[in-house]
Amino acid sequence: MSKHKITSTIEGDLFSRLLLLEGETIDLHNDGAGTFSSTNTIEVIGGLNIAVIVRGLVGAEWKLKISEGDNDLVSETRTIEMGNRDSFAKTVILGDTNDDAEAAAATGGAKKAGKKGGN
Amino acid sequence: MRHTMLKGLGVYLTLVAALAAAAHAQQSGFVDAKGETSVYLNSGGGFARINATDKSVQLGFTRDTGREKPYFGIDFTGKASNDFASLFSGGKPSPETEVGLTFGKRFFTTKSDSQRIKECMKKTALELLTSGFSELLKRAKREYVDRKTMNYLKALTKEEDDKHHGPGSIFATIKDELVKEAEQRGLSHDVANAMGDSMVPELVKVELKKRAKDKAEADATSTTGMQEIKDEAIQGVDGPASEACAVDPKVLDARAFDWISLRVAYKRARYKLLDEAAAFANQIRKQNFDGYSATLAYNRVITLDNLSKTALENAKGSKGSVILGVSLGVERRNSSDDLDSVDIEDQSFTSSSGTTQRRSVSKQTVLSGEYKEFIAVPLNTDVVYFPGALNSRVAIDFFTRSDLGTTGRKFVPGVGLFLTKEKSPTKVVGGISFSFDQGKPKVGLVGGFHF
Repeated sequence: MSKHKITSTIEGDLFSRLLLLEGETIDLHNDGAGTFSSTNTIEVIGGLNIAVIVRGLVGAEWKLKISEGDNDLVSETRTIEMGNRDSFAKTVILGDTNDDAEAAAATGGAKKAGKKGGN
Repeated sequence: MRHTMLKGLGVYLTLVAALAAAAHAQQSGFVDAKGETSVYLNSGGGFARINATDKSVQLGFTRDTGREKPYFGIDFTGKASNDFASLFSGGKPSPETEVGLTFGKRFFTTKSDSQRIKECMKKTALELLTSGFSELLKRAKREYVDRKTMNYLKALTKEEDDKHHGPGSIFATIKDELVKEAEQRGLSHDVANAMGDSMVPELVKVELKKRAKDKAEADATSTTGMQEIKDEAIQGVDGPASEACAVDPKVLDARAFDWISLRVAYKRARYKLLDEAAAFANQIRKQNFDGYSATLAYNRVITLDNLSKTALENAKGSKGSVILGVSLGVERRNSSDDLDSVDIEDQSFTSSSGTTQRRSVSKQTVLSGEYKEFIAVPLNTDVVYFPGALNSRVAIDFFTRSDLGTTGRKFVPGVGLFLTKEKSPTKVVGGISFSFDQGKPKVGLVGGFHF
């Protein structure tokens, strides 16, 4: 497991948007014009688990962007087709950050478990 | 709002800027001829708007997480009496100033997506840790190997790059083998060398990946690696559970969701009124107005689609959606909007010299007519239907506008037809509404600009 600084953005004409990273709900901030975003330090166990549920009218287009620095991990454009809702789920494998990799090498690959991070 | 009479038929034009805000920031673009609605949408964030039709400027900010948590907003509106310049000139405050506070909450009576997914995750995590633990371990191992491979690949690539294709590098080893084999098959040294240069980079990548994966798999079968995988499978169970639940039809089968919003506002205004019947010295007087309002709105969105798994699999397209809206307000109003705006000229000095005549004239704009203050209790309802076959590009709004106050009590039924922006169905680009206000038919035109 390793800590990663993840930036998440959900954009679109939506009534509500729920984002979970590693099973933890992320508080997004309204940037105006239908764009909500947040940057969080997340302790990733295994791969980064992404789960999103959005609500809006049928025909509404929405965009999801998850990135770590300049590296786009997810860049999705979707449209609500049925039922005034849509959802998305994906696991993205991230390498250990340099500090984590060095620490892992120094301890022979084993590390203590820790809690998942917030903001 | 500007209106003209057209052969006895009231025709109103409402220009709606930005997020179709008519009276204030939270209102949707599904408005009647007077810019009223009961459908309130939280546009949120920071905003600055200029409304050219009623010569007002609005600034505001809403703090909102976009989900079930309550949101709060504040907005300020300044309205000019003449032109925009009068909002800022002379260091005097705008003749009409309003400050509004907004509170809202999504999923007011309906279960939120957060609640639904958390309940599902609790159940799914337990299932994964008991009956599905072997599957969870497999997944954790796969993710562990992928992550370690990525780490080793990064380290090995750096190591390889540091050797600059020199002796001992994978590049040099593979190239030597390739060139040797090509020469044995009869190719000249130059051709074999060129062939090696073009092929080796890709082969190096494959070799590095293989070595990285071998090392990662070796780690995964070591004692410490296996313990780490087991720990990750147990501790990281919420992540896979959230993914499973986000696409679970039972989590997504809510046919309705709702929100409530409350806005309270205070308005300070100052008018100059003309009373032609009064003595000359009292014909023009200043009138201050302290207005307040509170509006509570409830909105509910209902899908007409059957969201069962079987129905969704067999569905050919969406049947559409309905937004229901009810709003009730209490507002201290005045009749200034109904008064005539007239220009007054006072000639205070005349002088002449030869053919030149000099006059001193002071001008001012005042309101003429009977000024009244009263309490209005507006009750608005809307049922907005969005046909699924048209991808919500068209909306039909059946509405009522009532005033339950003692002054100006009324009931106005009407219907509106709106065209919405492609891919943004709540943004109105144009529309027409028909209503009957005290027996008189009225037509309202709405235009929206979204940027």
